[in-house]
Amino acid sequence: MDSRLNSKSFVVGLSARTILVCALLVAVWVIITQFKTTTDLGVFFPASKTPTEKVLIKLLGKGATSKLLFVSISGADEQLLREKNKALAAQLRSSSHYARVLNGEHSINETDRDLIFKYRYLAAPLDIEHAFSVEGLHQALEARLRGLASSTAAFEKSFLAADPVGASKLFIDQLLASQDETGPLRIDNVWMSRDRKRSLMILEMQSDMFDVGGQAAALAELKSEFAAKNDDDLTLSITGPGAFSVETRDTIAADVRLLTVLAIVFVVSFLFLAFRSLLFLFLVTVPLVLGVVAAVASVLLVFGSIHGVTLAFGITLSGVAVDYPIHLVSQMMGTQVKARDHVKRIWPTLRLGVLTTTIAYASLIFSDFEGLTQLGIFTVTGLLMAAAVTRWLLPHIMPNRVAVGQGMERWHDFLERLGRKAPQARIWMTLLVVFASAYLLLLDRPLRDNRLDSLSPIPEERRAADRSLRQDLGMWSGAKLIAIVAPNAETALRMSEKLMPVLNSYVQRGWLADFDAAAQYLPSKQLQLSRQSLLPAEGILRKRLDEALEGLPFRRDIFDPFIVDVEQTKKIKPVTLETLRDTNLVPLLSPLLFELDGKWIAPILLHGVKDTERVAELAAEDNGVSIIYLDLKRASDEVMQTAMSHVLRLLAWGAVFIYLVLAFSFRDAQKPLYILAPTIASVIVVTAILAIAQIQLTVFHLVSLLLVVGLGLDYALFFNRLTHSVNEWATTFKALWVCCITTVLVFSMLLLSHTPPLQAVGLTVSIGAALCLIFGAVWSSSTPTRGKRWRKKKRLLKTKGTRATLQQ
Amino acid sequence: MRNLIRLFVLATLLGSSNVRAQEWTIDSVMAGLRGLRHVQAAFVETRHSGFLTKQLKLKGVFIFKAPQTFIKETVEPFPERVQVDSNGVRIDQERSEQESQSRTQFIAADAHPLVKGLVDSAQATMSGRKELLESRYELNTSGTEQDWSVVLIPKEQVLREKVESITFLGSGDLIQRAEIKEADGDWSVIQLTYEKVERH
Repeated sequence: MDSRLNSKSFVVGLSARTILVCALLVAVWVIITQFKTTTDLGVFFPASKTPTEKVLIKLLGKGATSKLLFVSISGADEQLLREKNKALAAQLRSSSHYARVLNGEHSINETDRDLIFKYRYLAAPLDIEHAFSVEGLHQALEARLRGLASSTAAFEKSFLAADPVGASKLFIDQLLASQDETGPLRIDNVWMSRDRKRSLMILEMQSDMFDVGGQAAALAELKSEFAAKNDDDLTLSITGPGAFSVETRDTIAADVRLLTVLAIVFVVSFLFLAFRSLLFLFLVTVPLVLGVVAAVASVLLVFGSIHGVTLAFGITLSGVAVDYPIHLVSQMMGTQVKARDHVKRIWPTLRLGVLTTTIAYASLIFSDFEGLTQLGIFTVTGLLMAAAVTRWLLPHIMPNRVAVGQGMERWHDFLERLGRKAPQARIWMTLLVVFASAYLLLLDRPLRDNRLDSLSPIPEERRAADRSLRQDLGMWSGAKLIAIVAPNAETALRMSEKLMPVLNSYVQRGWLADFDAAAQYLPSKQLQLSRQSLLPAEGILRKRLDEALEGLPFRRDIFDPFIVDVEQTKKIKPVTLETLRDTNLVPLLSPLLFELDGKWIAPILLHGVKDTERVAELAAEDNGVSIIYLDLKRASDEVMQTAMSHVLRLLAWGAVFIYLVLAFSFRDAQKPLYILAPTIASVIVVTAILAIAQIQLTVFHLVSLLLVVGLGLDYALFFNRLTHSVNEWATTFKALWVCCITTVLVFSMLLLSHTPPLQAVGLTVSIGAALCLIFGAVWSSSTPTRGKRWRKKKRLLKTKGTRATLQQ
Repeated sequence: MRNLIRLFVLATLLGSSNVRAQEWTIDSVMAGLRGLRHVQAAFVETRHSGFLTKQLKLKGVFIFKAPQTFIKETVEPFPERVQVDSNGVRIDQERSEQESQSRTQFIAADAHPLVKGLVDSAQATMSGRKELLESRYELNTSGTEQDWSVVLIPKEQVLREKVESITFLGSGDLIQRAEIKEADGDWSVIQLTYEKVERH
């Protein structure tokens, strides 16, 4: 019977091994063939579900604006700043990396002007019926006369004969209106900030955010072009969505590189000091490495690519997996048990640890953040694979006895003494937890940071630089808008036109300072065709013009170009987005009208909203067209808040599940509380520490707390496992503090990172891991407390154990 | 824009020589201009345009404040205020009925090469930078201290397309009259009456 059992388990073991190896091979193949990382930070914003949220995300940087760079040159007298600006712009215009270079030199060029002039009677905001009536023409001619008697006479003369109506003037006025007061100064054809300390430029890159490589190349070219001719020690400042996506990628990449190296160096030297065995080091990393391989492959299979942040966080979160082989190997120390037998002894505890941690991490899969879902899949796969490798693969590739030395003995003895006494501190620790809870409950400021901004990996100072550059460039501050969502561009434009008079009346009443709408630049086809149909026939126009000239000092024979052009205008096709494609109107128009998932979005950007309620009332649903009022800041924070609450709910459910799993496996309702208590206590105390340090919790802190939960469960399970032998308690304890210090080492490295989210994780986890060990020891139900006898026995065992290792 | 030209002329007009030299030279003007601090004069301008069947008559005040601010306030026939400084040109106009409300328009110094030419020239004149003025115009000075004239003929193509010549006529250290001939045959004459002259 015995042998049958053995052979059966051998078969199970063999097939498990085979499956594992096959799975790993598939994973490697997937990684080799499909590996692709992204750095699009949108995935760490809540997944967008409603059209509102989609517009929101798009406007927050996923959209057409993601190609923009805002550039300033400072550090010299203005003359030089402008010269450098012009020289740089000229260089960049000939570059294949840039689609558009705007620095004030070409804001509306001759081609644009000709185009505007050609379409003036279709595009200008004119009431054609009135403008072409005798009365309308007379008023327009009076205006032209005023013009001739003004300082802008030369300009009036340039269009008077062909456009006495003044349509081209109206259109250009409207176009330039916003650039007048709020925009940058334009001196010597170059944009300057109002304080004249910086010359400015807006660049549009060819590459969009999905081609960060292309964007990086464009940025590099910009920087080297500038540096090549920078003999005067000028300062180049580049911000904007395009710059940030590259910077984020670079910082995260540099951080990950540096931190990985540091973490490996520290952890390896620490583990070596503790166990004095290279083989041990190697064995410890096998499950983690294979786990990460499987994890990367699984994310690639599900999402097609893996986000840089997922990769970085995923590997750190999977760091728990290092603990598994440490338990296996270090607890074999000094025993005669074979690895494959020993693994069976610790497997129930290990399995429970993996299972509970997996439940905690799995809650991420159901969050609203695509980034967190990726992270959930990554960590669950990673942990399961690491555990499986520890259980079925590692015992077969490791020698039966690993010559593990006893490094850091004094440390160990010291910690062990502390650990043994820890339960005596229960009352104090309970008090600490009670105080921490009370502090959190009585806290009068919000614990959570629901601002979307706080998720940004871009340091605050860079964001401030961006804000100030945008202000200098007179760009929309990005606070409030009305978004029209329509099935096509034409419908969106018609709705935009419908809202214009309403908004204009709001501006007049002072409820609103100003607004930018697509319809200001491009009327709908419908409106253009109706204008076209209202243009009078040649004979009628001549007659009306003659009447209109009555009483005015104009010569009658000068207006032939006007008559000819009106005839021409009747025959042309309406102007469309396509017509404008290569003009300088595009950068003005593209943020105001764009396609998204088959829908056309026309945001109306609102400036200086005084009466939010009035504007919000414009929201409506009309024949498949939605008008949405968005307070970007508030809406994004709300989306964020909902998503965060969702994550918290998932975590609560996770805790319930973990309890049930533990209760089921112990067949005991009370014992799981011993496991959960230290974990929950750690979470509470970490949170309180963060709160005392004035740090508000972001979604990244939540993820970190999740890891703390995973660690806490792992430690608590092992603390509560071994009751039988003093020797086992000692080795288990050593395994635990080694695990804990390893974790603290790895995560405190993250504090050196330049990315705020990584810092958040580092701080939370390194404090949390230490607390988990302390609380685990304090609430351990199995700490041997037999004084002298225990110490004696332990010494005996240790000498025996060392001799045993030496003999090999 | 044509009035900008006049503005320049006015600016130059006001900067008259107070150097008692026998022969009137452009250097004398420049020296005089550098000495000006605050000048105010009433003007009457007559404009002739090929588009119109009769001449336009403008009346108003011209002000110069050192170092480089010019203000031209037209009172008749249509109110308008134009201010030129180093930032560019600011124009406040009362709009016609068609456009309903009054408005302010700002043309940065280099919105157009023509504006740039004019603003630069005026500023070159007022700050006494003769070289800059000579690089843009051919200067012909004639007459005596009591009765002199300066003719400016633009060298640059962009300005030549608009302006044929600008003539200043003056007596002593005061310029009395300016005549602008435009390339399309339009012309205008500005007559000045001084109300206030302060020098450094």
